[in-house]
Amino acid sequence: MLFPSMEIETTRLEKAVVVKVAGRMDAGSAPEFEKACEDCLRGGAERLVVDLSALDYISSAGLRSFLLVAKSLQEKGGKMLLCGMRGLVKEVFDMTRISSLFASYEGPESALADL
Amino acid sequence: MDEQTFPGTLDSLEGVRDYVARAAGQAGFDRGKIYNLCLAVDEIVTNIVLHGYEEAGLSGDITLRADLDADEFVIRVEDHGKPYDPNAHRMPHPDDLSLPLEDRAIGGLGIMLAMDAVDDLQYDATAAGNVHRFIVKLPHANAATSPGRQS
Repeated sequence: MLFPSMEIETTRLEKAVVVKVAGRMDAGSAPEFEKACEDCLRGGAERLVVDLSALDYISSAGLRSFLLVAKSLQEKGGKMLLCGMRGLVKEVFDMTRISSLFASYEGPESALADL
Repeated sequence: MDEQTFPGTLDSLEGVRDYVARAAGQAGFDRGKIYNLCLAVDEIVTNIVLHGYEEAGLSGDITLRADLDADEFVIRVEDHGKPYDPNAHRMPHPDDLSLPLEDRAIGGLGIMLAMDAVDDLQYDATAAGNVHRFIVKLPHANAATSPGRQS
C-alpha cells in the first residue's frame, strides 16, 4: 500500500482559497501543507476550503497541521471548511473527532455556496 | 517476513509503511486493517524519529520484523533512541476530543491512533534497544479453540 507523494494545488477565488491536497500527509509532508496554508493567510485569505477528495492517507502529524492552521484562521476571524472527505481518511478524522470541528461538504462548489 | 532496517529519519516513513503493508497483506488482512496497521506503526516510528532520536540529539536505525503464527500477527520495531513507553502516555480523555477548536490540543492523537489499530501494543526498553510489538490477534484463533469444531 504505497501512497503517492503529497501534492497541493491552491486556487484563489472571490470567496475563498481552495486548497486541494492529494496523496499522503505524514510527518514528513505535513509541514508543506501547513506552509501552503500559511502562505494563503499571509496573502490575505480568511477562508480556506480544503478539498480532501484526493487525499489517500493522513497521520496525526497531518491532523495537527489542520488544527494549527484552523486555529490561526480563527484568531484572524476566518475559517476553514472541508470537502470531499472520504474512506479511511474520513475514519481518522472521525475517530479523533476532528471532523466535528469543521463544516464539511461534498465538494468545493457546495462549500463555496455556503459562504 | 525478513527484517528490514531503515535510517531513523522521517524519509523512512514511506518504506516503513510499505513493509507493514506487504507483511499485513501476506497475513491476509483487508485494506482497512492494513491501513490502520500502517498508521499505527507510522505514528510510533514518527515519535521514535522526532523524540527518540532528533530531540535527544541521537541518530540511529529502526528495524522492523513481521511474524505470523497461528494465533497472532506481530510487527516488532526496534530502535536505539531515548526510551519512551507509549503505555505511559496520557491518552486524550473523550471530553478533550469534544472541546471547541480554540481549546482543542493540537497534539496527543498519535499514540491513541496507534493503540486503536492493534489488540496490544507492548513496549520494552532493554540495554540492547527499545522494542515495540504491535500485536493483532487473528480472527480464526478463537474459532480454532471453540468446542465441536471439525478439523
